[in-house]
Amino acid sequence: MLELEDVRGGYGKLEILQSASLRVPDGAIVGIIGPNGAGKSTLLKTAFGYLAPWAGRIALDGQPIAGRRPDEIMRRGVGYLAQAGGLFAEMTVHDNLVLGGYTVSRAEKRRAIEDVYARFPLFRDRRRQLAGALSGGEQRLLAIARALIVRPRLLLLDEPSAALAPRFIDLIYATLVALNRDGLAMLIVEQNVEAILAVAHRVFVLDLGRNAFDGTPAELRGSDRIRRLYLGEDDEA
Amino acid sequence: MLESLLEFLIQGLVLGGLYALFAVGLSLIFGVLDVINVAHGEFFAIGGYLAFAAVVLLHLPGAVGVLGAAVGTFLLGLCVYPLLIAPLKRRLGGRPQGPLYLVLTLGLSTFLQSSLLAIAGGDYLRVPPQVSGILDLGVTAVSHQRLLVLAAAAVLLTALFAFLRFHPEGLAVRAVALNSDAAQAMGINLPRIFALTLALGVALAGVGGALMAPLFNVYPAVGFPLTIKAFAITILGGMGNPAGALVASFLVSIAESLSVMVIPSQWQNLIAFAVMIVMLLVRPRGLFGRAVSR
Amino acid sequence: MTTRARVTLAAVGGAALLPVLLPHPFVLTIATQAVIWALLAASWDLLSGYTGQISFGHAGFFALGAYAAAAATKHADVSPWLGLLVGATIAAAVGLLTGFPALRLRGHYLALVTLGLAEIIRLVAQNWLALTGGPFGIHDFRSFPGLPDGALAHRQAMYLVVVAVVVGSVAVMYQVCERTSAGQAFRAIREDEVLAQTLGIDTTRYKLLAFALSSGFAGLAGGLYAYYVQLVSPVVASAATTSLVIGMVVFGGLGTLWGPVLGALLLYGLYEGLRFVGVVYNLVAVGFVIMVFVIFFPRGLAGLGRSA
Repeated sequence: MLELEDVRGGYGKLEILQSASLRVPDGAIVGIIGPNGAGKSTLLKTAFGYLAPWAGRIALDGQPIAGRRPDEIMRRGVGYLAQAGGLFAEMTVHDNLVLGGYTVSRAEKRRAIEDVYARFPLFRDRRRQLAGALSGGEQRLLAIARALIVRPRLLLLDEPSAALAPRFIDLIYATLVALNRDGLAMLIVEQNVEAILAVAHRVFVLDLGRNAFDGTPAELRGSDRIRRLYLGEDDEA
Repeated sequence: MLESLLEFLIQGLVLGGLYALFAVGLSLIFGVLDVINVAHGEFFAIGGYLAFAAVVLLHLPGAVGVLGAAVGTFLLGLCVYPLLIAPLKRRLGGRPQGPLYLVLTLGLSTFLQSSLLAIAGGDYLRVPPQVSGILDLGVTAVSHQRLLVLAAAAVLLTALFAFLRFHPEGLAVRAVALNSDAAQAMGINLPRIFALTLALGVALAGVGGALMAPLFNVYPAVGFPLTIKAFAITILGGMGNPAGALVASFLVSIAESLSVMVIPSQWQNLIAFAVMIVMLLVRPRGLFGRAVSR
Repeated sequence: MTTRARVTLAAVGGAALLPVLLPHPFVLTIATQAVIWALLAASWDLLSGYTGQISFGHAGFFALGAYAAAAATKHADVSPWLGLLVGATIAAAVGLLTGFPALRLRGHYLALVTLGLAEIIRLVAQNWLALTGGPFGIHDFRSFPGLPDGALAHRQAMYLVVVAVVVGSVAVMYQVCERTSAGQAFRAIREDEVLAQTLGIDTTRYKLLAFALSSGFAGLAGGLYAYYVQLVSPVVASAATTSLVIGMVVFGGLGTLWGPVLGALLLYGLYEGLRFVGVVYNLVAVGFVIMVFVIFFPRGLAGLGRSA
């Protein structure tokens, strides 16, 4: 569904990605892990169009999308969840959801928002509150709910578990797994290696702007080298 | 004494309508594009010239002149983002370089003002009032033309705020001002919103120019004193906060009007600048704020 | 100094001598004013190009220098040579004061403060009749003593005086910006002020220094202008002055000092030359140049031919 091949890029003159490649098959959960500064978030931003790649190929359903604007990529069925600050904190919960439906009809928007309220009653109760007043976990959940309003086929998530209490991490990931069962593909950048290894179909390891390894979670756990370098000390009970 | 106070209060209120038309647009443009439009006054002047062309040259009714000014400045404003600001943005990448955009709009201001001079000459052109007559309020008299400006400001600004609050596109404009990355993720087309916002902002000034033409006369530099004063007003209200600019417009206009009681009138203009400088030193985000750093 | 700079300086030097070798009153008039503008442009570049503190109010410092010099000579019978110093000092003092708020303001906020200040100066010049002569300004004061009589010879001598003062000033500014640690500090502040502070650079001191130097030399240019034109009116503090200066620097190349000098000479020549074609188109060209150069040629003339 999504293909990145030999992508080079960065910010301004600073090169962060030297040669990054990955594939997200339809309906799959693919994870990206790696040390700080490896370029994981940069790769995600480049895939979504916030950054233009300097070289390499990016294709969605076979169509090249390198250099396209984020809103153009979004309209092709891709959602993006930023690591922090993805909501409009000074707007109400309800307005955030309304904006989530910017590209769909009013009727569709109303229906979709009703669905969100049905699924997450806490948002209905607090729909007039400013989004910034919600707790970290609630904000993350709201961001996901908002992204779902337009029924994307692929979600790009940048560290969905960052700064969240374990209770919320479980909730978020349970939600993501449920969504994936309905056919939603995901590309997830994660620092929380355990969380992503538990749910991903395939994981790519990025280091210093290039691919270091990729495989199934089992393959990653099976490799001593990978375990030592990227998964921390042996944590198998 | 009370009569004087009331008189100046009313005059200040009426003046505030003009300031508001000007400053709200300027603040909106800054809030959404992060650009200070030094050329705002030139759109005010162009509005006046379009009204002159419609009414004096083409003998069309006054209302058509105002409409023509609105449409004309709107269309011209649509060109500014794609032709000038977008190329600079492309070259600068994502790095914020506020002053460079300021220099760019300064260049545009110089270009527009001197183009007007070249095309239309420097004479003060006379435009007949759209409405005539005077309203006698007892303590003071206000010309119907000035009331028209206030009324137009009330109607247009109410429409603008309603648009921003309720209409999906207005929501999108606010979203871009708050968080342009997230806005893009919602499918909002940034260049389109930027161009639209800029055009809306300068069109407000254009309408102001058409309505004030009978009072100020029309000449190339007619807008510039307003521009500088509008900087002061928007800073007072909080740069990027259109509602703040609205309130600040009236605060300044009434302060200016009342000040005539204590200082000679030619020093009136000093108030706005003094206020601006004090504000920038004491509380740069203005009365109602938007954070200074972005 | 790069070869390009050397060549340019030689060319400029040659051009500078031309009015002396081939005297023509009109050429001398344009040349003299162009050289004064070159000083003003260089002074702006020191503050805004080198140190990154964009000022929209240099017309104000220019006006302060002009008015102070003219008033000193007219009312206190100060010798014009001393008057130049008076103008420069007063402008520098006000510039130093302006530097203090600059310590806390960045980017467009600083630009707006300086714009407001220049406007205040203009308003004072326009309205404080006793001090500034109001809209009619100050006139009727003597110029540099000891210059030869005879219309042409006088102009030539005046031109040489102006050139001497400007060349000296630009040389001083160049020395400071390119050869001293102050210049390095300026550039560090422009690039990344926080980093400069962590590196131990006293950004406060150098910012204030930049303001004082820049406004002082702008005031000196104002004084030269006053004694040359022999009339100072509020128009010198107008936004058109600031606009023209910024245009010259952007055209010539921010942060190079010799670029703005070249830019000033060329742009002023263009400005006056176009005045021949039709009085009204000259400023249009300036506005156009500013826009085009800011977008497409950020390094100005100084950067042409050099890879980005």
